[in-house]
Amino acid sequence: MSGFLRGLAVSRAEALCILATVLAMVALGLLMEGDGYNLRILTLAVLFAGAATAWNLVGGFANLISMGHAAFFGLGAYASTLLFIHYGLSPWGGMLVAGFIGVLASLVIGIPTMHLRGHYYTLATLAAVELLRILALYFTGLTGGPVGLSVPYLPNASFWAFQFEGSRPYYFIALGMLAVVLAVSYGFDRGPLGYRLRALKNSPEAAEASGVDTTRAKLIANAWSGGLMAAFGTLYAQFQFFIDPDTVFGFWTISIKLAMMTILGGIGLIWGPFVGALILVPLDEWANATFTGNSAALSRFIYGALLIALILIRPNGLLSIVKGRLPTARPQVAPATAVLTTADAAPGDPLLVVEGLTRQFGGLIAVNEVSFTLNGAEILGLIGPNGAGKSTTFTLLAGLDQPTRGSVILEGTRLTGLPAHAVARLGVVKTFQNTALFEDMSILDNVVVAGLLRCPTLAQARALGLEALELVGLDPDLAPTAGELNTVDRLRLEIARAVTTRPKVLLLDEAMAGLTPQETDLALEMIRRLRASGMAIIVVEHNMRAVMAVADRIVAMDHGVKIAEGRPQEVARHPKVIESYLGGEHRDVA
Amino acid sequence: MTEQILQAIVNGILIGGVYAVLAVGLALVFGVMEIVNFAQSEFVMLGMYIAYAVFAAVGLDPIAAVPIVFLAVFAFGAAVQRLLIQPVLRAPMVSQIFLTVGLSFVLVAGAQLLFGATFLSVVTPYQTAALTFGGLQVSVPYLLAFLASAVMAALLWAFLERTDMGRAMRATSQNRTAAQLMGINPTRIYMIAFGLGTGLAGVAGAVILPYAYVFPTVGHNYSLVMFTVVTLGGLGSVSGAVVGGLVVGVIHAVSAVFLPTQLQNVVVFAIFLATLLFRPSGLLGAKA
Repeated sequence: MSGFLRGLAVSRAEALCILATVLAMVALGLLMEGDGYNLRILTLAVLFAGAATAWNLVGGFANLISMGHAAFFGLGAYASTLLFIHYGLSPWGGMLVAGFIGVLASLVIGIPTMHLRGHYYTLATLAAVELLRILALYFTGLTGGPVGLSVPYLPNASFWAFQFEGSRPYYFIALGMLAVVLAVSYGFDRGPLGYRLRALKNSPEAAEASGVDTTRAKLIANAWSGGLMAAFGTLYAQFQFFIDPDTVFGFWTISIKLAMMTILGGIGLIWGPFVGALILVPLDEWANATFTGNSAALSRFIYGALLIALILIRPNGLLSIVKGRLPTARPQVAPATAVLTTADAAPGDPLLVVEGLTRQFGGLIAVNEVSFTLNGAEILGLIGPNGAGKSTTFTLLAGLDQPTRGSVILEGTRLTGLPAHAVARLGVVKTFQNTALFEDMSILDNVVVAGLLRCPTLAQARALGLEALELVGLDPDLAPTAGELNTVDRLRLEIARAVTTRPKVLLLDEAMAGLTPQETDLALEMIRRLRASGMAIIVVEHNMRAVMAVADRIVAMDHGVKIAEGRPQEVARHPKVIESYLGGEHRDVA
Repeated sequence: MTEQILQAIVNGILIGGVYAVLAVGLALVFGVMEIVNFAQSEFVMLGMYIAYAVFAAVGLDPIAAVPIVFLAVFAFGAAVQRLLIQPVLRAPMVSQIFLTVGLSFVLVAGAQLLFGATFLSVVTPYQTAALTFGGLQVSVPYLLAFLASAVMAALLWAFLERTDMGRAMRATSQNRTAAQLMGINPTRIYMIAFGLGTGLAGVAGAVILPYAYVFPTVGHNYSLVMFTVVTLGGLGSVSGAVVGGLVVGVIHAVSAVFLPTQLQNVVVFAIFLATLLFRPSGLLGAKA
């Protein structure tokens, strides 16, 4: 049992809480009057808890703020109802079709917007649901228009027609569906996808550079959310026996309510939407019954004011009080069999070939026709004064930006044009100047994200990550989150994360900035060890002594152009280099 | 048919001018503080009610009341920024979005509690007047709304280009950190930018009052058009919002010639989605 829970990353205390909740919900369903008002409200609460949990998959886990999840909900409600009326398809089958339509709709909204800034997804969801609402209102022949659509009552085919006496059967169906969405949430939260989503929430760029296909991760989250949301639309239609465009495609009735429940309970927390829905749905029913006519505006006013107050006072929701109080499960770690490097180019053979690399920003040519070759197991120093184009070159090599002209070829494979995560998969990874860590995540989780690029399971990724942490000399328990580390340890973690992706080529962007001489010596020692394991390394560094000490060869740049290349001593004595960069004070450096 | 289309184009430009002023406010706020104000269209409603109240009290024409409306909404917007938006500037996007959604609910419900759900309108001597140019009709209230919007846009341009505060605002929108290092106080800039953005929405409300009814949810009629305009113009681009406003106004009006009224907005969504697919950085290719 405890082994099983550990596999799910659920601690014993958490499992007990879940069990108690399940028992309480089942007991409520059995004890309440089957055709009473209370069970009806509770059924709606569970239904909305499920739908809000599905919203949380994007809004909470993937940081995609949807203002139009009613689009999926309404599509699901209309699809199953129309199939039932016109083709006699059982709503159970209709629910499956609805889920499929929800997934398709999620791709239609997601594919054009995922590579853009988050606001575009928000606006697209808003537009999509309005479009559907207008179409549903207009095509009255199909949807009944504003009058709505009733589900035909078939008293003799109860189960097949998804129609039951009283609320109790609906309640347990809703509860079962809620369990499914919660299970998906657990998968998101504790599984590999959850690590990737948390990483991209922290820093999309660093996640990409660590091999996370951020677009894919977001599309998967959106697809799960859309499909499940549509299934809840079907359940809603069956439970209410009636749907109309303004309700099921409604901004206030569905889209905003789901978000409000989630925010109230705790956004991004597995049980947040559940708590929020259980509070908000009964409250909403009470308000609707109490404030009628013009005073309905009063209840809307209070809702708005409460939403504002909630965001200002407790933006993480009610459950955030409990979060962190429950003991967490000890993570599983596979036996350390992983080997850090995958490089198989023999030392001295050309590994990475850069040809005529050029990047133009408007009138400025940041990198101008730069060509060089990196050999297997070689340490290459890239030097130059500020603004020479070193960091831009790194950004281009790692696929985080695309060159205007020129190419980068790794062992015969063209990297130019590929997204950063694909470049990382092929084996070129960069660290970030001034570090770009996943601040809210633990030290171990920072490297686990990168380890998932090479390992199918979290346990294996942890083993690989721990190996990398040991290599850089960073204790995984030094601080609860990466955000609390000091500068030196941040640099260590930055390198460890890059190393965990098992790169063939490691690009170190000022990885020794701000280190004391002793720390620098340790860092140099580490870089030599990495090379010894088979990696080829390019270092961009301002610390000239360090570069000269560690590099086999040096490429010098100025104003975007390569001005010299060769052994450290040769480059250091090169007149152009001395003139542009080293200056008088460094002349004796070599 | 040709005449109908020409007429629609004229109307579209006149209405598009108002869309432009409305969207410019949204774009300005996004450009400066990276917040999409989902309550922006409620400030249109607010402007309409203030203009209506001024008209009801002293009989001042809504166009003449533009300075009053602007100042009132500006002050309200600046206060909202200071009290509600400023605390969430560094918060996650979800907090920022739903804070403005909550604000939208409060404003609509507040208007309903104060004024009731009835449709209100003003009576002006030029309400039904129209100028005729060789078969083309130019409605006087539309024309006045357009001219007032154009003056407002010109004043905004002069402010952004010619004053220190305007330059500081543009600098902040280009690079927040750098602007701060240059000694620009961002808190003050944010407050004024938000006041300006909402004030412009209020002005748009005042100038349409001679030809449109005001009621608590009137803003909803404009919110989607407005988001389409700023997306088309490139989120955060002020000049793009002006061009986008005119383009959407014309397409909206021309599509009414071919499509039933209920489907008019479908064309707006088509523009919105096409922009996302083919030109996400907007017509003028500003930052995306």
